[in-house]
Amino acid sequence: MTKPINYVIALAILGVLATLSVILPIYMDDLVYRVLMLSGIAVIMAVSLNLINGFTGQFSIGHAGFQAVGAYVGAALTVYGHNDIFGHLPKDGQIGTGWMSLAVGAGPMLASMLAGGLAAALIGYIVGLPSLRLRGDYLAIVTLGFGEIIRVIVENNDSVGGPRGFSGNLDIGVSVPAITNFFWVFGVAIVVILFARNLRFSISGLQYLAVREDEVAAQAVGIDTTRTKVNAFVIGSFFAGVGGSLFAHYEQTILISSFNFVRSFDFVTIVVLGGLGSVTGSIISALVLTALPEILRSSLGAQFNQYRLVSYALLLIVMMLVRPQGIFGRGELSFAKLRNKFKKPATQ
Amino acid sequence: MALLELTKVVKRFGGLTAVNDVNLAIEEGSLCGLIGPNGAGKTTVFNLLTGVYAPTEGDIRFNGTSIAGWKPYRISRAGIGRTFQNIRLFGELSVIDNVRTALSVNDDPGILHAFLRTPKWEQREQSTVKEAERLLELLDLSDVAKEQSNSLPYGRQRRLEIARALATRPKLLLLDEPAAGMNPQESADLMHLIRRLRDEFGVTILLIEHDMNVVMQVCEQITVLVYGQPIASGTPADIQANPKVIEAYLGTTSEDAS
Ligand SMILES: Nc1ncnc2c1ncn2[C@@H]1O[C@H](COP(=O)(O)OP(=O)(O)OP(=O)(O)O)[C@@H](O)[C@H]1O
Ligand SMILES: [Mg+2]
Repeated sequence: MTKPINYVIALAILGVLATLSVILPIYMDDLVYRVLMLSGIAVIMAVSLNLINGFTGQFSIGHAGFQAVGAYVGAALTVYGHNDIFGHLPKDGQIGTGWMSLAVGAGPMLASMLAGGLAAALIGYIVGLPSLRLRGDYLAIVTLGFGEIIRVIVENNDSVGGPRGFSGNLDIGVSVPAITNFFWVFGVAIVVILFARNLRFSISGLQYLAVREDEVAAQAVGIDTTRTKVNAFVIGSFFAGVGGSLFAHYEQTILISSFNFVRSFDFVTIVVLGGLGSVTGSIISALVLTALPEILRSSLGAQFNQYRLVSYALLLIVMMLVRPQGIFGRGELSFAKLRNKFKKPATQ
Repeated sequence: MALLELTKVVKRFGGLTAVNDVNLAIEEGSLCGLIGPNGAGKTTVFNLLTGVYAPTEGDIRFNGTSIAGWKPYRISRAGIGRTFQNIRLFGELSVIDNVRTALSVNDDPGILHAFLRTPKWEQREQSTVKEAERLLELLDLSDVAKEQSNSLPYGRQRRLEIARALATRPKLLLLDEPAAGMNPQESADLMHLIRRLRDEFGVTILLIEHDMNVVMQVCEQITVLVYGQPIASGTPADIQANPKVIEAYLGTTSEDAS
């Protein structure tokens, strides 16, 4: 953001997001709005996982675990911090919609996202450092085990509801506040996307891609490959934690089972389908793979749930056979490229 | 003091001694060759020098400091660049990005600058493009700058490896069979370039090469390695006249030919 015009654009985007955040809940169909919000969170999760799996070529299959850390830490902060810090929020957490709600929810939302993100990043560092030193698939095994550890910790911890789920604390009478709105979900999504895109098209990002391409050669040109991998993993985990906090304050009740291996696998599917390393691929794939099941669920009912996992697995297998690099490969979808595609036949 | 000094360096892989008691000194500004039959341990010496392996015994001093056991990226930053016998490019990156990746190690403004696209970031991006273009020009790769690097023919991939190694701004450049897979014209051009690198840019060079014409023409000092051990060291004329070399080295080559 160097030129003044960029500040103007940024402000305009914030204005549009805020306006939509006020208008959409009133005029949009509830189900459509819900799908929109869940898709936005999925975009955050997918693009952040792509930093790890796509850019640096590692294989994390525990992204939902980091989302869980962000969700529980973030929600615990707004619930237990209510009396001391966020007393201006209603105890039942219903801040309603409208312009005022934006202002009321901003502080707690920011604090919660930051706390959730930092907690996930810290744990990402602790988990990542030992496993990323080694070459090979240690990260996959460790992240898989990590999800289980998180589950056991949460289920044995009554202050976050244990196995019953966390929606607040009865003793102090505070519920998880409904402070997630369109503004924050899509504001964060834009930040993650910009971050990934700006990294990808810069010399800093080249180091991440080089680690994916050839670790030995990367080291030979002076890249500290362990540090690069840990950086990507910590940043990816941070955004997963932020996504967790957004999710918790949208649903207002979180169950540890919503962050299980199956959920992690969903994120991996999204990233692989979109194309490892392709930011636009992750975005489109996240939108489609979140919206489609929701739509099918509402039209087919419970029946659909039985087939969801099977169809994902089939989708992945077909993908591997037909187009192993993912829909977008490593490339990016851009308007310039589209224009060229349409132009070519005309000029030749 | 020599730029690079190996003292009694040994490398064992289990029961196999790939490098056995090697003493070697490379003077700053020299252009040296390391030759020997297949499996003699030449590449292993490079891997020891660049930290891919730590020596089992002995010491390696570069610029006066012991670098034995250092991680490869630290050795690279200390000033030893290399190319690989079995080409290792960042295959899906473009030709120019391969070189820019190496430049980025010194010129990276940091992830935050990249995210916010600050003036510092913009300036670094442009300077690496310019510097990379200069290196590509030097290695005659300008016309393919934007192409994906693994789509290049063999000879040009080897040149790109040299460009990338130069981008780390090395004091010492290790070239592992740089002319392999090149036709005689290409390899003659390459040798001309290697001499230029030393003369104009002051890079000290140690190269492994099987093509004897090439080695004898370009190198000023040659060390012959057989079964992990140096059996002779000297000028091309010394080496060609050395009976031990003729027996051990040329003996195996004629066996190879039969
Ligand atoms: N990582 C390793 N593990 C086990 N043995 C190895 C390893 N690396 C090399 N060797 C062995 O060490 C010996 C020397 O190999 P090296 O690659 O250094 O030979 P070289 O002189 O470069 O041969 P060439 O001319 O064929 O490239 C060989 O017998 C090889 O099999
Ligand atoms: Mg070799």
